[in-house]
Amino acid sequence: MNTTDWPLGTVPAEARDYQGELAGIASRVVANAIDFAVMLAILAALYFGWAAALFLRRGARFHFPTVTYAGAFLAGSLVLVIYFAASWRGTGRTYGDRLLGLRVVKREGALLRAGPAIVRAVLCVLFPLLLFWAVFSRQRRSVQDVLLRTSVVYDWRARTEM
Amino acid sequence: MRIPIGDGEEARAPKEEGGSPPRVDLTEQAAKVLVGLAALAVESSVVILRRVSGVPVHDDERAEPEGLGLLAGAALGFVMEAGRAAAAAADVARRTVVPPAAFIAGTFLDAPRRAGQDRAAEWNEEWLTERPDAQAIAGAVLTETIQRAVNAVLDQIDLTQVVLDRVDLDRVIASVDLDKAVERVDLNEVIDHVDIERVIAKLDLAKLSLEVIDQIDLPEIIRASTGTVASESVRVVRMQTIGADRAIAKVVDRLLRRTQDEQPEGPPAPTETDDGS
Repeated sequence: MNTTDWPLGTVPAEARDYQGELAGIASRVVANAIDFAVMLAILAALYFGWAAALFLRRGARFHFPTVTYAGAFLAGSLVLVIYFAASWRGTGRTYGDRLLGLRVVKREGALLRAGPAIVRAVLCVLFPLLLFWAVFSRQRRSVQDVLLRTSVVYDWRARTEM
Repeated sequence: MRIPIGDGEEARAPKEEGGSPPRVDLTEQAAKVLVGLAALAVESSVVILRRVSGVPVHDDERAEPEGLGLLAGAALGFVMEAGRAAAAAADVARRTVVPPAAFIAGTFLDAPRRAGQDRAAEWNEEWLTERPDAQAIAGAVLTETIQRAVNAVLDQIDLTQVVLDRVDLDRVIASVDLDKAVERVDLNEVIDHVDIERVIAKLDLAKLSLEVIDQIDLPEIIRASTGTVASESVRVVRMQTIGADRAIAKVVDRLLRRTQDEQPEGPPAPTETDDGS
């Protein structure tokens, strides 16, 4: 897969040179930070949804449910794994990737299948610091990328153009 | 005694009546001329008769007048006196008649003349006062008449054809300095008077727009300017993070003492990088 083969009609001229290039650590960290915020928003929504259900069930005896750190960590991890796996399998990009113009692809530029997507999601959630191997990797790849033979590239195109 | 014949008698006559007015002299002179001429004729006749009859001609004036000469002289003297009396009578008559006639003429002929003059002066005054109105009316009538006449004439004439037939338009146009004429025209003023809305209404803007869009490939421009890149701010953030990626990579390369050759060049495709790692 080469940049020149890509249909770049919708990509601004100044960004066309970077299309298909492996993304650097800054982009990926920013994208992960945004994904983390998305995870928190999902957790909050889940919590308030659960509280609303409890309120309807208990009525006057209702009080907000207490959330332990371990419980929050587990819930957050679970949400992230599902969110990452679904995003990478579906479009190759989470919401953070989308804002930063990144996409996770495997060889031939194809999207990940469900299995590798879930494995990668679990690895990324359990060992987030392994991402920083990309700083030192000549190919700008994290440990997860190396294990699963995936890459994160700059890709500003819409999915319909792929 | 002298026979009153000849120039001497005639020349003396006016001196004897020096006091009489010139008109009387004229009458009397005329009479004398006639009588003198008659006397000459008679004397000539006498001389001729004598020569025919053989009697010698005497030039002596003091000679005794003969019978025939005496008779003729007497007749002539009588005529002379009669003429003189007639002239005097005529003079008296003239003096008597002329003054009353002059008075009558002055009275009955001059009065109408003066009256006429007065009347004319009055009419003149009247005219002077009414002159402006009359002139204005006359002018209006004249203008209207001329206009109608000209219009009637123009109706009968195809002026355009006349100009085409008789006027050398090329020469006329050549003599006109169009640049100078255009300079005098305030085009902005002209534009103010143009109903641009009406001009636009006449244009088929839809067709024109389609032609323009065909020429400039508008869909491509729209794709390039919007597309999947949602907004300008997203584009800026993306470009900044790309810049950050490159800066970090450069720092790391320097720390690890990597050379440019060792760096993955160009846009490394995922398949190639897979093999490389």
